[in-house]
Amino acid sequence: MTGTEAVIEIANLSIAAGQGGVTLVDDVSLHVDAGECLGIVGESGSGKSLTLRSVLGLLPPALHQTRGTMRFQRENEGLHSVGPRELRGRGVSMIFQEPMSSLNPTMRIGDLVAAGQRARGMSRRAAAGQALRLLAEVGVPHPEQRARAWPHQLSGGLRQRVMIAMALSVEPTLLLCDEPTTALDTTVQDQILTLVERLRIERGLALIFVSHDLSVISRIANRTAVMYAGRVIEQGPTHALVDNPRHPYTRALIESMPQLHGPPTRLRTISGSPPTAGRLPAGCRFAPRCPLAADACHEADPPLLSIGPHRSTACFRQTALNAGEQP
Amino acid sequence: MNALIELDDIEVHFKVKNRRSVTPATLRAVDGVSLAVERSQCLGVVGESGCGKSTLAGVLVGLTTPTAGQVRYDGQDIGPRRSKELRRRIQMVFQDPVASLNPRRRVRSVLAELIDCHGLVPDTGMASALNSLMEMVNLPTRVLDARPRELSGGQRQRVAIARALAVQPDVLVADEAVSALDVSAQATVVNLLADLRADLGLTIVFISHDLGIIRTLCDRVAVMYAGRVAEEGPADAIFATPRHPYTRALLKAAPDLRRRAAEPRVPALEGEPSGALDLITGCPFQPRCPEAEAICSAAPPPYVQHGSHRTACVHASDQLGPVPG
Amino acid sequence: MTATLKAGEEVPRTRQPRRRRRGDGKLAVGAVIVGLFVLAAIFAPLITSGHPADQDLLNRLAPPSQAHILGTDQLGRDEWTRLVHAIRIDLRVAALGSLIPAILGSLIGIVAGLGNHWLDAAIMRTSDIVVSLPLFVFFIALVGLLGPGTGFLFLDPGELPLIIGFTVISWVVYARLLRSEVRRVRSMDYVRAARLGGLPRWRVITWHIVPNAIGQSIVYFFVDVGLAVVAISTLSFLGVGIPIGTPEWGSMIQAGRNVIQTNWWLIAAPGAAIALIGMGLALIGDGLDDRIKS
Repeated sequence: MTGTEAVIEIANLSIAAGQGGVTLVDDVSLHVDAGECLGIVGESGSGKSLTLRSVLGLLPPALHQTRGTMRFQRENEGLHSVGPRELRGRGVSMIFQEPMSSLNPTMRIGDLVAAGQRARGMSRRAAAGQALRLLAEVGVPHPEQRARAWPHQLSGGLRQRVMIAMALSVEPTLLLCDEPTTALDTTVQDQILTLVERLRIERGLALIFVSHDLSVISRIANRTAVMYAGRVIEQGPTHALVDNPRHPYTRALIESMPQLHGPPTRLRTISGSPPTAGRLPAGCRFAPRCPLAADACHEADPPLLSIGPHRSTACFRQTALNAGEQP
Repeated sequence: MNALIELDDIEVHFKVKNRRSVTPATLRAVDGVSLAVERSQCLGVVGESGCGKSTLAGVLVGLTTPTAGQVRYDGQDIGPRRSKELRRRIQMVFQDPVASLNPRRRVRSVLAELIDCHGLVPDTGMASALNSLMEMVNLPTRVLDARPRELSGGQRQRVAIARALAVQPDVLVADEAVSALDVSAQATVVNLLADLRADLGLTIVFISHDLGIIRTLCDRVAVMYAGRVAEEGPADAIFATPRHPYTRALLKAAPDLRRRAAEPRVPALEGEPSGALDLITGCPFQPRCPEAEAICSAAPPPYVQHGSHRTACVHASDQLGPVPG
Repeated sequence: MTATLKAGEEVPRTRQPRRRRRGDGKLAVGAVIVGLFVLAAIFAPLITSGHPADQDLLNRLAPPSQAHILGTDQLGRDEWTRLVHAIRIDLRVAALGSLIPAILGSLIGIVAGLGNHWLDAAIMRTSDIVVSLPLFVFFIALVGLLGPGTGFLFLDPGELPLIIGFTVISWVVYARLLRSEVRRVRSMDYVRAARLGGLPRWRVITWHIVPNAIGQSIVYFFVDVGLAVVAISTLSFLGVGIPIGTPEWGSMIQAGRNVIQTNWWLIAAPGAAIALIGMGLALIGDGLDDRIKS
């Protein structure tokens, strides 16, 4: 599965706070193929955003990467080992949850979108022309007019589109999305998801899309990794993973989500709360909250093992899960 | 119909200064909303940001004074200056679990102060009253001695519910009370609200942008757009046979785990809610409506009533079937 | 409804072992510095020899020695003794000159933050007027006008005018700070919840608004005391405020000015004292700030 198709391969990534401090992301390995969207889903504190940010070396000051390698596909060069700084503006772009804090309020929209190419030496006129094309491509109405606007004059949805246009201006092959629709209204979220999906198909972009919302992930991602307490605990094609979760946490997560269609049902709750980093339980991190936990689960941390084509899970209790043992 | 709480043609208009003109513009946050909630019922209010749903919450609990209209409690008009006793009856749970608890006070003192203030419990019974409050919201009594920063988001929100319950209210207004929580904490709080309603007969007004949670919790739903109620009716009807184009678009736009066939290549709805500043003569949804006609921009559409289901759309009457039940 | 405790739910213990918090280091260093100054002021007679006005006329402008650690000045007075006794005056005036405007300004700011539009506007315009005054000229004129006086309660001559001067000027900062903080806190959900709960207005103000609004002004208070020390010394260097002859850092620097070539330590010692106490106070303020924000 990690053939020559992969755009990026992250291997054994670990992130810790301070020297010899608490491990927040523990041995995460991921890859994304060309034109594919990898979704990373998890609750706050699961390490999903840190994993994403580490690709561009955007970790908060107190945190640093303690382990892990990254390989990136460049045209005609194959997969290369790279450091995060080499990727900034060169093949990888990122969009964030809060567009207002990512848009310099003292620059006009057109200049913001043109800045990436200007920095690479493109002429002012050419960069401005490209900015207009990009604004049109991401669905900003009246691009010529909007290019002269300031960020604060735009609605949340338009700001997010502008940020996407800025991200596209450096012709990336990989776009990192950090909860880009979380702050948006339902109908605007729908528009942005549709746009991102269209860009993936039309431009052959590879995407890593991080969200706390599995229903958003299930809409946008081809493949999904579920993170819990700093580790990937299950991975697989999104629809297969949603229809047939192979980890008790994934299953509980799905059952705790309200359903839009059909008669209302009582939500499943997961007892307890996720462990705090630094106070992890012995064995499997989910064991204290897991209805299927057996003795073995409290003794050793289950490794992420392949259980079929493109699917892997970190759970010892496969038989119990198979038996449909209801908690 | 004996509604416990009724809103009658509520208007909340703000004057906002505009740099471009001398006369201040009018922001129509809530523009003629009438709603009724029966005792022990759960009404869901759903809509996007700026639709006026949070302002409406302020009107319900008495934090916001409507510029026109009447709020009735148990058939009796309650003005903006409510008595302490009336305030007690309608309590609120806020969105942000961080801002909703005083960071300097322990849970115990916050709850005790409220119980004390209303003299609801004799001094000797305070300890057991506090313990039973914790039990009601499924928190261990140890939480009483915690400060807010020591609690998780879900725990804080349950403390906020306990604070509202401390004064023994009849109505709980929850304004996006689970939006800031993780999925698992969200489920816990949603189930808790459902239980409180069943066990205490609490009347709940649940305001949210999340259709899934509204579906899980509420038996009536009001869909708001630009300060008005676009559609209101029994939850089953709203979700199964939505009549307003906006409701249909919302339902289509909401991501759903199970529905994935025929990936839509076009968004359910274009555009964004326009600022409520502009004076729209016709239907407020008309600028974005895929089904808009000339008549829609002439005057705001009257409600088309169908049983207890009403829709502010001129097209709604075209699709009426027999009145259910 | 299940009221059973849920397994694995993390609940804080009632008494957690106190963890180190951000700002603890700065706070400790600052407290040690300021504490040493305060102790030195209290026990001044024990760590110095004789009275600050005692003259050793045979030993004028003596270099540091066993008998005079920091030497003597032009009048043969022991520099160390004067330096230590000066703490009493400088810190006392600076502390009172900051505390009184802090309390007064905070009260005014709270009233402005809570009050109606007109009251708020009146208070803010008054503060605008004070801010627009040419401060040093105004201060010197005011202190000169009041004259040194004869002392007041435990205050020596010359101290009360300084404190009045500080009060007239410094309340503005606290008033503005508190006003904006009160306005911020007033719209917090926990304050709205307290109002909805039917708590009396004064209770909401004193228990829920003010305690969450005063943090920044406490931080500023410590910085302000440091600034006041500098201001007192500057004024008495210029001959305004504390009467000449009283041991005070500014007037000591003024006196040492003429002999800077030969007896530089007569300037360096009080200068270092001013810098050190200012730094100690700033560290406390900074440490408290870190702690509030963490």
